[in-house]
Amino acid sequence: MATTRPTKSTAAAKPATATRKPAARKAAPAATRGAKKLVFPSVEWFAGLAALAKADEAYRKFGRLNATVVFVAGASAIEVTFDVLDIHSIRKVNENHMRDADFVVELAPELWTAMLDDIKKHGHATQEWTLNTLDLRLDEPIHANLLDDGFKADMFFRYNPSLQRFFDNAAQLDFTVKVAATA
Amino acid sequence: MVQTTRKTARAKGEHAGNGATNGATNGATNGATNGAGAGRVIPTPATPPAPLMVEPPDLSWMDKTTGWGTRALPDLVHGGGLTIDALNIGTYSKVPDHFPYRNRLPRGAYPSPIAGSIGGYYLQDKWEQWADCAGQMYEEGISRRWSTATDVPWETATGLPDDVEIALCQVATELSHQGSIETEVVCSWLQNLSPGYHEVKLFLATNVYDSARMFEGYRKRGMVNGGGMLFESPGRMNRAVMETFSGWTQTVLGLWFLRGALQLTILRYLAAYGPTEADSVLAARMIPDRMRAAAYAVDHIRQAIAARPDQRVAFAMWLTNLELAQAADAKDPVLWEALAVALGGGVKQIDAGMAIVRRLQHDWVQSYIDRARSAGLERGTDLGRPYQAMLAEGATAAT
Repeated sequence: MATTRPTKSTAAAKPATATRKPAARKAAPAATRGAKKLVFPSVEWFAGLAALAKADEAYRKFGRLNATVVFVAGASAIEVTFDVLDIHSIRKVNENHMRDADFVVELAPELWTAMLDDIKKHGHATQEWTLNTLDLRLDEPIHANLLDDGFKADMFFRYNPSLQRFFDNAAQLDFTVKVAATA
Repeated sequence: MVQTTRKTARAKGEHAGNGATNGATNGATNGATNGAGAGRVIPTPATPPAPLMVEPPDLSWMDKTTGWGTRALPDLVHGGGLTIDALNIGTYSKVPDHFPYRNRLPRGAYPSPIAGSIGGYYLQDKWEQWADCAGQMYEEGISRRWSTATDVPWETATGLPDDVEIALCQVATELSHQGSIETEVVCSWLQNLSPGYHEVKLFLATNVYDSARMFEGYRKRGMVNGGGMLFESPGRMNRAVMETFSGWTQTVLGLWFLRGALQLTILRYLAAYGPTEADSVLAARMIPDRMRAAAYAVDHIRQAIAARPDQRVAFAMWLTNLELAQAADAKDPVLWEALAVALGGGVKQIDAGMAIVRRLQHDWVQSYIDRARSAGLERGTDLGRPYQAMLAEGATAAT
């Protein structure tokens, strides 16, 4: 039966796939151990993830990248600058600033929650919850350049393994998800 | 000092010839020494060699510089290091619209009056090859290198039913073949591109590795469970790309627009639906390699059109030719059926698999249209009917 793709607000049906083993990981840096519980989405949450990535050999092995990315979850939009192997200038932004980003990644609150739950549970995103799969299987891509610059939007694919590893490291963070609905 | 050194070299029989300074006596000695085999008696000069005449050194080459004092600096703040683009400063920042030297003159070097032309390098205009992002794509290609031998969990590529394994081997055969074609095509053009635009040559050198990686990565996928390489594709698109004699820019359109979009889409679906972790990882790791080529291609076409707006129509017409070649290949059911069996989970699930393939075809055509639009080439009503049909059918297919 032909159907349309699931929307951003509904989780994609899961295909039967092989179970993947969690990748071996280093212990979380001291800065993230025993610290106050982080909340997603927040500048502090992304800063914690950035600290993990910068110390993560597997992340660094994926190589250099240069992109300014805004992650949108409900009413929250947080810009992260990936600069070679550094990650900096993490800040809240408004819609006007989002246009300056190379690309925006936007998911419905329940999909962010489900994706991060999957990462926590398995140590990384399983096949149906990777950024690539979500982008492919939802009715609209989860990434976009707001000025319709396809060259910049394509960075989502060019840097995809790095971005996936960036989020997979969330398995090492102690956090809760509190996404405010879009205003 | 010079005299002593030369005498020492001659005594050891290591000097091949000292030229006019040494004269006939030395030449005879060297010739005999170099030609002597083990145990042969080396003739002694009839007269002792005359003292070497040491001329004052000719250091006139030392002022043959176009930018002495132009110091390139590494990025120490974010760890970017000393990139190829960071060298484009001062006089070295000038990337000319035309590079007149048909030899190997490095851009910014002082030309020699006797170097002449050695042939080749006939694409001497910037618009024929340039992309601002080429240097960055080179650095990314070097930095993001990886190995299919050790970065893919091959041990997980097991346990599949025979029909799914056969289908994956068929898809692997196609992708491997395309990788091989790309390597040969890019290599064949390198000597035609002017060294004055070295960033492009450097990037393409990494692309040769990237396409080789697609060849060997998918050859390994075919071989890992004994399936091997299966049925060859009709090859119309291969010929179209290999036999593009009209220019490098047209070759770029052939390699990395319609075909590149197809590769990206197949890899994305394999990453999302691949039945083993090895299939998923192999495809996912290939995607950035393909996208560096796409970035170069889009940026190059954009800049070619900006420099030569009169070429836009010719490029669009070339895309139509390529669409026809690709459409001829697309009529062949082998690749689509193989994808349907591989992504659907077997021959019995081929209907479900075909629904996924229709989505894949839709996403491929949409990706191609988007890529062309990014480069300044609207397909619109120029888009061939088979592709319009794929867009329409894929829009309602199940995932």
